Amino acid sequence: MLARIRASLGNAAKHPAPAKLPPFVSQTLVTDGEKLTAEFESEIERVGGQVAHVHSSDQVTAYLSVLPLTGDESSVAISDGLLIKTLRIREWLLTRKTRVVTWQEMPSMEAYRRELLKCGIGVTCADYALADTGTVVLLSGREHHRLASLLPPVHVCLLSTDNIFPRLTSLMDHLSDEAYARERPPHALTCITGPSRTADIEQQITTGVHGPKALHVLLYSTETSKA
Amino acid sequence: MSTDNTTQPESFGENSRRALTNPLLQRALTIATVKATSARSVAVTHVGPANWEQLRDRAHAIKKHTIENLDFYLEKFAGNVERLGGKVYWAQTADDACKYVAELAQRRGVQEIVKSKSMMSEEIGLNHALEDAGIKPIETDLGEYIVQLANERPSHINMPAIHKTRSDVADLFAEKLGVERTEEIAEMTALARRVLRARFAEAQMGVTGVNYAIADTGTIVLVENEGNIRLTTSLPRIHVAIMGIEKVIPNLQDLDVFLLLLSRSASGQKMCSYVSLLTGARSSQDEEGPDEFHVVLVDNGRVEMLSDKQLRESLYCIRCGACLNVCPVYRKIGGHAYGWVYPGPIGAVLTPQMIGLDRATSLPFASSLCGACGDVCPVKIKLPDMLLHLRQRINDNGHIKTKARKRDRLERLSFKFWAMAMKTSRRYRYVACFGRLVQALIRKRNANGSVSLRVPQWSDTRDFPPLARRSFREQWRDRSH
Repeated sequence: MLARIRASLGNAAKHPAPAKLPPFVSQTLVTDGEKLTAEFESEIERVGGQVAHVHSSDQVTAYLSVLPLTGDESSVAISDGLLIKTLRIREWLLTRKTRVVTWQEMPSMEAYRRELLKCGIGVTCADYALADTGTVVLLSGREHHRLASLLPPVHVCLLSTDNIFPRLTSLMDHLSDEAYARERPPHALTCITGPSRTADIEQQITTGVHGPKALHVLLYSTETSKA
Repeated sequence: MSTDNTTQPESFGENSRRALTNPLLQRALTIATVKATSARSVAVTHVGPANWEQLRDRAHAIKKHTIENLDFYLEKFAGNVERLGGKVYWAQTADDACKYVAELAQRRGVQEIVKSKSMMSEEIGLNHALEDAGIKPIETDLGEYIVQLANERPSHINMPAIHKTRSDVADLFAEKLGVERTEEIAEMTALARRVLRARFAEAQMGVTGVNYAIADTGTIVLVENEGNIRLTTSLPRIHVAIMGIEKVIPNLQDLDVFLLLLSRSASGQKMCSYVSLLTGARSSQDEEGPDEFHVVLVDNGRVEMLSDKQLRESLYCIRCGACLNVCPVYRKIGGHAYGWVYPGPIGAVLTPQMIGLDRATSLPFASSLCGACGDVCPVKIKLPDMLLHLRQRINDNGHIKTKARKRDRLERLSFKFWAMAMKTSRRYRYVACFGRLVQALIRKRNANGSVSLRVPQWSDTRDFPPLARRSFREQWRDRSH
């Protein structure tokens, strides 16, 4: 097919790599950390997500304890993210006699999938966030959060305030130099902006069609003064 | 509703007349297109018109560059996919692509396939091919699911069930799913979730389209709001992504430009709910995701389209649907009238190229040439120019039927006369003077009291205003005295 494409375009069989386009000058960026957090918060609320500031393990568990867990979906899925381990969320859930589902403890993908369908909440971390769209970004590799952030009807996402980028452009620049410059780029990168939604019937927005109906982002920072 | 998947591009006239007299369709089209266009213009205002123009120019430049060097970027993309454990299949025709997917499913013992919305799969007729091979395709996008249940074809690029009102969907669900009828949109959505979750739980193979393919990293990008694409690409053990060869872009920075444009143009969102970047197969058993990753690169006439310098730009399309929503023709007749996969202005340009000029002679004429499609296109495809160009080709190739040809000769004669008359200002004045004298003969009074001229055929559907009694120049001369 490549030969036919070359013939159609009138390109020579062995031609050198095309000259790159000149770099694109993008608009000015907000860089002030505090402004970024505020912008992220207002954007995520605009798309129907919820945000809370947390500074300790207690505050996270207090937030989780008021989320309803009922009926067939009474388990909680947690990923193996660093913050989740540091904040000892698994230990707290176990003291409350909640059934906890993790990737590590499952004998197979099949079993994990089955158990996840019985979870009411999925707790994961996010690697990055984008302020101007209220997006959280999850990279596969270090953490198993691909399904835990998708199957349960409620997704709780822990995010360190240090990892908020102003906008997509700055994240793409960062990723091109870092994760995607490696020999093996991350298998899956997921950008999540608000809960799952559809407007397929009369353009009326309805949430939770296939993915989570609710998205809670817990902004984690150590300084308690900001609260 | 009377629109179904038996419409053909050849019967465009009849299809559109049927659509125009369907009050439910008219209502559904108005709701959807008005909402989509106003959401888009709000989103563009937020970006700022100058920034928006800059982005569109950039997107156009990236597409131009990539298409001109498509061999280079495709080779790079395919090389990276394979290096990272994926499998690449080059499909020259629609049949090749369908056969590959069906045979793969058969070899793996798969009987049911979950699918996400993909215009490419519509183009190659994948669902039919799978059914013929004894495999059941299940559309999982809510709109596509509705269309599949109704045994219809999507009538919009990204709002497949745009032609259905909530009451249509309520009837359909009650009939096909055997549930109590409800018109509550939230309840109908929840029902679809339950039904489709059960299919996802069992699914062994998932088929998706591709929004962008990044040559530098071998990544495919999928943009959605519902989450069904995430489910389709992460639950089953086999993932097959089908893409037209024109979907490739050089790198992640280029992706940034397209993501900024796509959601805003399609639905007025700053960013769709989910954007997935998937690269190769999973690196180990300890990673989530499918065991197998296949990319099917489809030509299906695109290589030939590349050699056509005048229409090549139609391969820049990112399938946002903005040109459909603003098109005064689409807004009245909907997608099914176009009779093939791609409707609206972009469809009127793509269809003749893909299925043959002779089968789609009416489509390039289904435009008032108002230029709205060209104005909203996020990649600045010169749609009105291409529509004109196709009209000329259809005419030159003699595809228009005899009756029309006769009219065509008359038209050509009139324009020849017009050109002669306009050559010098003196001729123009004489002709105008003569016209004012003879127009009384063909004058008619309209129902609303206005006066217009009776010109054969032309004035059947529009007004031909008469010449003023005194010309502008004459009035000017009088006033300056």
